[in-house]
Amino acid sequence: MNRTMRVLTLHLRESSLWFLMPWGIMMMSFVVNFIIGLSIEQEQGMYTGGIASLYIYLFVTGIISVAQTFPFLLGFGIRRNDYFIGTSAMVVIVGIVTAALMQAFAALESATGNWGANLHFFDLPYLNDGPWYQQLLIPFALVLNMYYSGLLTGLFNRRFGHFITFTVLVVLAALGGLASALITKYDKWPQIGEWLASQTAFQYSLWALALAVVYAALSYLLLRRATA
Amino acid sequence: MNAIAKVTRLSKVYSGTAAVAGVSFTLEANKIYGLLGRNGAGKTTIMHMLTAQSFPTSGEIAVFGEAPYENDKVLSRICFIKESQKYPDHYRVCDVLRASALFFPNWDADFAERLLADFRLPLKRKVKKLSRGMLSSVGIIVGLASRAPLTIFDEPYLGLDAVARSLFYDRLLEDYAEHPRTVVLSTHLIDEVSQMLEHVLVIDQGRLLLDEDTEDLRGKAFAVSGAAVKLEAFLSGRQALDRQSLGSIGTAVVWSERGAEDRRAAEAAGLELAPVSLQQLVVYLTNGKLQQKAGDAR
Repeated sequence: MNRTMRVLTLHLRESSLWFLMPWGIMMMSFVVNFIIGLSIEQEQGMYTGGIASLYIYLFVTGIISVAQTFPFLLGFGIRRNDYFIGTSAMVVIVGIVTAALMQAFAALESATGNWGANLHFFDLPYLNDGPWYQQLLIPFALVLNMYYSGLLTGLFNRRFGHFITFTVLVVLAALGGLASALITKYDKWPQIGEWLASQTAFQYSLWALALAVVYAALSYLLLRRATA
Repeated sequence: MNAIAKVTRLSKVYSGTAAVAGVSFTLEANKIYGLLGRNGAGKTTIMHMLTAQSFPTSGEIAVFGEAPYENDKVLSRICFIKESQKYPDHYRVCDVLRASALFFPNWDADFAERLLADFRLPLKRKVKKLSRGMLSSVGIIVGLASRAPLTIFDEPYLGLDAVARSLFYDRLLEDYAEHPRTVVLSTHLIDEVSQMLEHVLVIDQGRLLLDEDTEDLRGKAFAVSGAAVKLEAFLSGRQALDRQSLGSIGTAVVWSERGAEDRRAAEAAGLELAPVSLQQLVVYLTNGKLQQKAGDAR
């Protein structure tokens, strides 16, 4: 077994952190919503964003990797390369399992008539509009996107410190503000709105996946120069 | 000579300050080294660079004949027990041992288990909740049971009680006899380790002050005392690392490349001879007053 596989093995031993915790948190949200759905009659049904907690959890997991498993394994003589590939393999597994479970729960939701509580938790309009393979790609892309943006944030902070990280975030926000002011000035919002609305969730997931690849590549570069 | 690590003119500069300045040394196979010096002398920085956990500003490092950075052949043969080693927050002692079994090719699980009992470590306790001494014990167990050809301990004694310290000493020597390897002990608690060391490297302010076999060191450094007049006469033309006088009686610590000869001369001059402990010697070398002399002594 090479050392990349050993890194993956280490992560697999931590399955509770990768699966049990995020699904536990999300399921608590589900149960709360289910009870509310049962107790109040709603004609148009209840829609929640409860699944967002899972993705936010993965973003945090990315940040935490930089402070926990990475320095631990670097100290144990693991190559940065092996850490990156082994961890990425774990993230891909998490993405696949998450996508499969999400799809299964969405199917269960429609089969049970929204859990008998008129609750829309997993099977959501727009997100679950496309064919099955598109519906599978959406959570997969989100898992990767969120994990690597967390990893990149953590590594950037480790490399450049709190002050520069914070400054970069402020600058990014300012650039966003400037862009939106310019769009307003030249009255381009209608076109942009149209374009945004024309994109399907599947198309967005492709964008999310492309960004995830960019985040992963930048993370890799930072990781290669990271010190203990 | 079978060199397993060779460091050449190694330097590390942190924002203008040199933490390590032009250090060169060689580690030979199957010896126990002491990397000694005061806090902040640059010991930890050197070990981090040796294990590719940080990068040199200049200089060269070869471990097992190759550059260590991202080199599995090198890194898998090193076990570096850092004083500042991070463990994931939720890890228990048993999780650390399981991970060690995964990453150290020569890991001996039975040995680890025996050490665990010796050091009375609670297997199920979270590493985060361990006392400083217990945390040091975890490092010692990993360091010993990993049986890495190059094993480096950074301040292994922190917080350990006397019993645990002598346990470490005994187990290391026992296991070293059966499974020879190169061990580097980095510490500022010199008296605790001095008996085990075969070779010492003394670092001060990023510079290498001393690189000697302990055997030779015992011959080269000694203390002389006696009437101040006789002492003065003896010291002229010789290196004194330290000098003290009380009334008409004086004491001096002498550094001499021709130790045996000088000792006989001191005796002939009617002076008393006494050995100098490694700890005392390092204090004289690194207490700041003697930088110049220390440089000469080298």
